[in-house]
Amino acid sequence: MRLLITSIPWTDTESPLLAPALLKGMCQSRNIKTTALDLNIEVLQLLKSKYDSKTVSSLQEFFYNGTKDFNRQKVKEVIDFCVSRILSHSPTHVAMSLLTYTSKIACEWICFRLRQKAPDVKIIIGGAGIFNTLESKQNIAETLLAQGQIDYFIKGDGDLSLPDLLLQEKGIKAEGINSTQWQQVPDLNNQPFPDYSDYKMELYSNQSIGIVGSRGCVRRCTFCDIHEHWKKFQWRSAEDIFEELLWHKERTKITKFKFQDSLINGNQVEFRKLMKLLADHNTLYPKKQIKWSSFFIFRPQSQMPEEDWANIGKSAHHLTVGIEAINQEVRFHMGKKFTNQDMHYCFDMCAKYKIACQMLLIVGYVTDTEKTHIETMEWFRNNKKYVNDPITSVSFGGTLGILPGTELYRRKDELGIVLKDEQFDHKWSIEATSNTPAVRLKWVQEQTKSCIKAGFRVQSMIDNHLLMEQMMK
Amino acid sequence: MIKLKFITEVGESNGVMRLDITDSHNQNYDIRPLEVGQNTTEITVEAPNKLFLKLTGKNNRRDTVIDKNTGKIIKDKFVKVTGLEIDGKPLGSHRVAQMFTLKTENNGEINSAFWGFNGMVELDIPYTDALDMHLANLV
Repeated sequence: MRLLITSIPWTDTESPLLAPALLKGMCQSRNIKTTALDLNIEVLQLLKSKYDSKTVSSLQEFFYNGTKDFNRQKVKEVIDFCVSRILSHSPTHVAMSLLTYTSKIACEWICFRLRQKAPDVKIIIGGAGIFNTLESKQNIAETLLAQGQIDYFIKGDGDLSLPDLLLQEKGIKAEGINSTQWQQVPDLNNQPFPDYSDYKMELYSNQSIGIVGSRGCVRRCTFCDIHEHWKKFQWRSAEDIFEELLWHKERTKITKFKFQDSLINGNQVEFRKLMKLLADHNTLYPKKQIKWSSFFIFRPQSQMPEEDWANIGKSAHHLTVGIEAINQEVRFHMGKKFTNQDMHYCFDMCAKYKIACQMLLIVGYVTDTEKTHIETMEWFRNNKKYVNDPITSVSFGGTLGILPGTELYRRKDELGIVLKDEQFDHKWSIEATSNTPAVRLKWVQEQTKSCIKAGFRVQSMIDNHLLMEQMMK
Repeated sequence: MIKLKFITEVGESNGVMRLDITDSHNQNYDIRPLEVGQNTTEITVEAPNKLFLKLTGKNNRRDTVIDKNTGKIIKDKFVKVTGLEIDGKPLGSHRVAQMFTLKTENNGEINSAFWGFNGMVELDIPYTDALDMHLANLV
């Protein structure tokens, strides 16, 4: 048995994708001969080296949303490149990891080509991208399985399910296969570390290594469906994470790490211990300091005193913080448990200890009004002091989508939310407060303008553009 | 070579229609006669090519039975294409519904996957690669 695990384009990143390396570590530890590729970066770099940015963007658009205006030959080139790279390793089993819905289209055609060229190879797909898409609730995994284009799909943690599936012949029982029911891995500690040795590290402009420190989230934000996926929050001990960081540093010489967690500081006790370990390490090795970036939650000063921030500052490279709403009442309605005073305290601490932040905002929450919209724009004008220090970018995650599986969806009648199109999460209205798609579009445009005018850098993401275009239809 | 599988629903009224398939290379495909209900017709085609699907055996006056009171068709002889697989993968159902034009013997051209008249359907296969066929037929 020869297993090949690969990421699938298209994820717009300059960093190595974690899943293939993580799964390789798990499979190798069970004596399954495994290769892990990051075809995502290989495709991105191949196209960037061959074509102009307009051509690359148009291909990206095809793989994102299946636009009908595409160059067939170039799409085929991408598919054939992937299949040829996969088959060059002569695998008996191919596992494809779909990070998000943006891998769905490439996956569909890579499976087709693989089936044509190597009908005996078993195909397995998994990852968050195998389910809902931006424009459709269609489950691609079940569709491809019914079409005979894949042999198996895995929902949820593949850490155990994938090796179990491959070892089925030896009598191992595999769970979570071709089913939406699955169990979380019982313990994230003492697991094999991700193995990036097959990745072409020279292709990444951001040479950082992905780390899983926790799964799930300690908050239950009303707009978020993560609890539908990971029902309980799981974390690793500071010592276990630290050991992994040192292991990668030793093997790869890479000292930048990117936590893939929903938040690095979900477990305050372990987080504080990890920051202390890293602060001590970085003091001891000033020329080989370990730096990390991660999603992060702001907490009140009582939970995160200045002493904590001083330690964080010794290793943190970049924090991505879901502020989500400038208005405090709106933020509390979301389930975020920090006041504006807490928010300013955290930004001040970040500035003091030179910790860069990306600020995430959702425009048009269910309790947003023209008044909160204006308050948001005023906040940018009144807080120019945070431009670049510490807020290096602001990202408006499109406008609010009412996702199935969220509290907002469950409470939609109580909140007066009218969903206009069950297939498109962003088409909803609350008539009583005139919170409509058209109003939200206006808000996001005005807030972006005001943010830029104040001097902040606004990060533009193609997902957002696609959403906006959909909403304008 | 490209493998095609037509999935059809066949309606009966004084028997069923006959389907014959030939191509621009003068190949006559040996296919199973249609039967009432769901049929699958599989052929392997040398590409590029053009297929000719010839439909015969229908007498419209006799085989389309209409309820005189309601004006509704109560029995009919027809062939409806419900699916088309190319190298084992189905085309989208919306595309299948739009992709055929039946040149009837007496009633001009009908753009439909429902064939209720005698006539000929031409299916162009301009590519040698099934992946091209799929990508060109995305709706």
